[in-house]
Amino acid sequence: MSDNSEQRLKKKYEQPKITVISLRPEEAVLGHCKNSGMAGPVGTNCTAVGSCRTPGS
Amino acid sequence: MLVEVTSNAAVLPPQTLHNSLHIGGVNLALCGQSAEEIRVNEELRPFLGDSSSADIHVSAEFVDELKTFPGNPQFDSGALWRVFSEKNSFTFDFVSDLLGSHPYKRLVVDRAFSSAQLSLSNTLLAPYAPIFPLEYPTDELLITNYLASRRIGVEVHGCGLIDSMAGGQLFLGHSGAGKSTTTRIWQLPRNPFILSDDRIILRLDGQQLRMYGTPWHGEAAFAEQGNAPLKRIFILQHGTHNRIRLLPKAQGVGEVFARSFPPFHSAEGLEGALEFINRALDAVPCYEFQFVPDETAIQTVLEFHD
Repeated sequence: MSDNSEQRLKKKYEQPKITVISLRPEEAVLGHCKNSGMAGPVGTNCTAVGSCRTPGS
Repeated sequence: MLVEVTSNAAVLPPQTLHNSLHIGGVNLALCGQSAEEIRVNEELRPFLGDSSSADIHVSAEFVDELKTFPGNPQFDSGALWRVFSEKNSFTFDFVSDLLGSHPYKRLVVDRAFSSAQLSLSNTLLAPYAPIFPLEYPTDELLITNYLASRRIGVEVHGCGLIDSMAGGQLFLGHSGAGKSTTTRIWQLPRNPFILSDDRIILRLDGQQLRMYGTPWHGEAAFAEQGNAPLKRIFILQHGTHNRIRLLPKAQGVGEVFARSFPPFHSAEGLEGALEFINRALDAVPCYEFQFVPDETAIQTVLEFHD
């Protein structure tokens, strides 16, 4: 294999990139209200429980 | 459009009073001694089945009261529940500020999430009758942990619909990303079968990724039992125009994981969820979908080819 073909086969170096992906714990942890009136035995008044942080989608 | 899911389901004793739920290919049996102990809410009813075996067996009972669990929790959700870890089990205590500092409900479940004892405090819950023992998030915790502990599936934050011509389409997004909007955009012109506008369970059937509807709907309140194969996953982003961009696999895994409901209390469960998503993205590509909220977004998807 000639030097030229070796060079052709070599992949171009790409510098590693860091991509930041944000987590939303208030959405990813089950138990917060998905929408109003959904969590717990007092679900119809869920906002009073203090756990509603993600109304709607 | 049902898929046979193999499992080591336990057969229920014939005399047991129970309700069987079928969610994401998992059979959950809620057993008890009275109708009150096996009552299921309206959202779960479409997911009732008549299975005589269960992957997850939950035995519910009302007790006078529940004392605060001793020790420090392994994980506190910051919402209604905290979990304590013991050698062979997890104990989930459900506490609401509105009901005081004592748990109103306690779920003790084996580490495989196949057998659970659910105790409900009569003292705290009686004024709020009728009580639904599996009410959110108990039902969802059981199913998601069962899937993660076996590395056989994951629940994601997304809307899933089945178009009669284009097949299964899955759009993932955080709150506000446009899941309910997307559902509504598709609804009128295409009349798809909408599995959920908020929560979808992903499972692999061999090398094929499938999505399953769940009872845990969003604003638009779509929640159907059913499932469909997927060819790709879209991550929703609001945009000024419609644009679909392939994500590198590593980024795709991260984006899907960020929109999933993994068991944060368990290192093994977290690893299981991540490992499953990695395998899922071996089966299908993942795209970022910048969209404008009108029918042109549908056309963009329908005309798209991998």
